[in-house]
Amino acid sequence: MPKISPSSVVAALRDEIMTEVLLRLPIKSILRFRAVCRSWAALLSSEEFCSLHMEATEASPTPPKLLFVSPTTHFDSTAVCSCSLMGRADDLLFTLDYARGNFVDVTKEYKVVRLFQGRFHEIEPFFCEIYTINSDSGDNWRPVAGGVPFRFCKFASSAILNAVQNKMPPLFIHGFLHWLINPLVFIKMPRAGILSFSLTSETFSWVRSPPFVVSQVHLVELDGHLCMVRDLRSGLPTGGMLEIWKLKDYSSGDWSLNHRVDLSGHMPREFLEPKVVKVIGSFGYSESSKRIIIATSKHKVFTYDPMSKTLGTIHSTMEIRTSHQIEPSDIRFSLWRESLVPVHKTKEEIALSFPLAKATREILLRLPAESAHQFKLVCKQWLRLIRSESFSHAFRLHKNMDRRLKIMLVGKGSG
Amino acid sequence: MASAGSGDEKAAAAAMITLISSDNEKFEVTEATATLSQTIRHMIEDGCTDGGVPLPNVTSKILARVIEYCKKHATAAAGEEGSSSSFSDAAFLEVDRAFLEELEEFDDAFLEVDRATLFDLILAANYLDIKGLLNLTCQKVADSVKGKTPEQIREMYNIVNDLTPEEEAEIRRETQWAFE
Repeated sequence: MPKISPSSVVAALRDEIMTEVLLRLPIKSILRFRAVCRSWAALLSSEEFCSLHMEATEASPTPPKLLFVSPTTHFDSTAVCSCSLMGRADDLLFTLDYARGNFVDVTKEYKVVRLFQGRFHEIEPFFCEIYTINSDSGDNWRPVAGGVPFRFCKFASSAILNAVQNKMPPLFIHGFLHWLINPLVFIKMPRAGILSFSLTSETFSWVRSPPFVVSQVHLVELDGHLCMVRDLRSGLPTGGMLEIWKLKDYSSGDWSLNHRVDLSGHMPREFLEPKVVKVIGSFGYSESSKRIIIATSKHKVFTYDPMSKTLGTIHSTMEIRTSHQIEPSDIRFSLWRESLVPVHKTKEEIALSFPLAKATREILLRLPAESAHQFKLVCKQWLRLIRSESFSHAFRLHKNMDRRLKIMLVGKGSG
Repeated sequence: MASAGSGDEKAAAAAMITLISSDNEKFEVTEATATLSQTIRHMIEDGCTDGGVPLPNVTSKILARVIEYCKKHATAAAGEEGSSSSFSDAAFLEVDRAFLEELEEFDDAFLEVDRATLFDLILAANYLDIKGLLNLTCQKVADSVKGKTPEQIREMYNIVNDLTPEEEAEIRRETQWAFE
């Protein structure tokens, strides 16, 4: 039998197959393996790999992870924890020392949208702006063409109010962001229940309200459908339940009652005491393994099996960390998935992302300081490049590595 | 060909294909099993499977395992297609669940091989274009390396670190959290 040395096996796996393996790694490992060698660094940082990775995760999505945002014990910073839904150790992602948010939702196309009210002296009553992550336009927010049309202003005002009061971020699904419209601010009941914004066409529209007053409700995506969850915990005559309504058809605005989650039967205290109980999503692919995830403002997370109508608990150490705090009026859990797309690119990084610019930089690094200084005037890109901190740092390093004494001999011709 | 297509369908279900490994061993499999491989599916569509399909890149040892995988998963695929009509039936879902669990157990047991065999399976799955098997085997390798440090990866795969210390430090600094 011919013996295959381990290195030849590896060599055979190197090329496209190794990419197949690397595509199946979690993000953290991919980032770490950039430090393995030059070719891995190039592969794992390439845009091609990034988009392949996005395709692969879309084709077979990993179960979402649970994200928990909590103030730290000193209340001066925010901790963001993540935990696998399959229940194992949780992981402190990072702490933000100072976080401020408008109304921001990161979407699948990696655009961030903010919808906000203008200040008193401004002519426009509402603003809608978009920040495209990792785009060539750099660090700028750009206003949506056409702004917020006048006929949507009333809806926008109600949607913003509702979102701020109930701490409800908009829901992203099917390329649209959805804000709930609070009908109680209107004198006459509006037909619209939801204000939506398309991220592809960047225009507003609205979705018809379901056949009840849209209050004490929240939006959630279940199984790729836009759903509205009606909190009937204190309501009569049914009491102690959540109703999940599914939007059957966007254009007609037909809603249907999809599930009734009876909470009073099991663990009534867990569900009747918290101020807020929300359905935050679902996981499982086949009908039989499907679970609906319910979170409460007392930092408990439950799974609900719609087939057997039973509830289960997701245990996590997060509960300990927050047990002594006062109950907030919102849910601090959400679901998330990893992505390789870099969040932020500075103007300098964008300028440098072209191969020609990289080569230019390398050449400029090798010039004497005087020429580099002069070449600032060549064009904007060169100016930005030469002025940047990283360039001057690299320039110094480069010069130090190759520091030779330069001696000029001055001779005087005689005779 | 198109006009004969529907009439041939029943016959095709029972049709047998002969696969020939690199060491000239012959394997008889049903068409349903063989067509899990896109490569072979295309050959069947092109009508060039008479007299057997030579697979010069796959040894008999590996081919036997690949066929074992395809047989199991071909029955699974057939079961799924038949079930879609009565999907909401609770009793049927129980059967479905049991079957999926069995399939998962099969996959787990199937992957209990040494590294060289696993790599050979990946190469065969890639060559034969069997999506499920490629995914299964690549995921297995990915799972086995995901917790490793760059140093361990270099050692495992005989990779020479050609990054300068500065470059490596820069990469580590960029996403420091990934190294903690």
